[in-house]
Amino acid sequence: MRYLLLSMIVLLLAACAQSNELYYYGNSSQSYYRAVKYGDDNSRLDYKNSLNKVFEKSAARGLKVPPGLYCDYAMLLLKEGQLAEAKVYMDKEKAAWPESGPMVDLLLQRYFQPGK
Amino acid sequence: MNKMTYLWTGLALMSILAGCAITPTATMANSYPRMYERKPISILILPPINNSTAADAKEYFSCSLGEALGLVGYYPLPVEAVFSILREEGMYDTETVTPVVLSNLKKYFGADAVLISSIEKWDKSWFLTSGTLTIDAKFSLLSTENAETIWDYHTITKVKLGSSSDNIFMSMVESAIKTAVEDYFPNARRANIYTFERTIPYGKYHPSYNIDGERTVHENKVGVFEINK
Repeated sequence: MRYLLLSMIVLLLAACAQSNELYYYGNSSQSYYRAVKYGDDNSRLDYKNSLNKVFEKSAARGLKVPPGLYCDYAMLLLKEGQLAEAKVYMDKEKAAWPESGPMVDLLLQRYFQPGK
Repeated sequence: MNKMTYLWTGLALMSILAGCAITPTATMANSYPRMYERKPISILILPPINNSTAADAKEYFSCSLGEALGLVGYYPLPVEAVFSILREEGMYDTETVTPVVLSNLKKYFGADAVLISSIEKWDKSWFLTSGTLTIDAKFSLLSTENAETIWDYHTITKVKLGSSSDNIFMSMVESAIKTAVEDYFPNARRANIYTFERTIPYGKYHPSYNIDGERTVHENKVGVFEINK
């Protein structure tokens, strides 16, 4: 009887511990807003850092990175001239979200061609 | 019981019933049948149309729409990337979305539907010991397949900016300052997340996708939400 009660408590605690969240966005939307509002290097860096935090926390919590955020990070890298790294994140977006295929192909064609 | 007692009892009952008036609701399936037929997954968010007096409301409002749609299971096309291309193509301020435009958005972006939003009101008011931030917005989702409206809703979010002070003078000063310095964005974000969570059928990536037809929304597709700060 004691073991049955203990098992039930453990199962209950495990159920409570399981997260119901679909994604972890952190303060990425707020940071994006500030990057749009101020448009300076500091706010863009904050936005980039907030996205990195989303990637880390999502991995730690076993969650998928929210839709579009790999692409958003790629666009920031593109602005910094880091084309190779930006393409890595574009590919991550396409791999994680099949629906992003046409959009990612459009961006690659538009911004990643030599001479652009 | 005498006649007067019956009269007073009747009046009291009528008052109670009037106070208990039920908000007319309809199920998601009945309100938005095309959402369940078309099953859109990818949504392109167009820059909001700004009908308010706040010149910069457009950008601030749009920065949380991706998160709000993502949390209810849709794939919102990355806002900044979409806006960059629309700016370059001279379409950022377009307020007319024709079937040809929708068809091109499907062809080039792979969008199943387009979110159109308009900011009707974006302002603060203050009176004595309390202030209110009002965000009045209309949303609609258009299918890129045939340009029909498959979802729409009108929300009015009122953020109450009161004071916790017992002193009436301090309360007036505190609420006036709160109203003057309140940052719109966090409240717009909460309003958008709240709106989509309660009014749109869940998308493909949500655990309750396609089994939420019995959820209810206001029959007239309009809602007033209050957020107390």
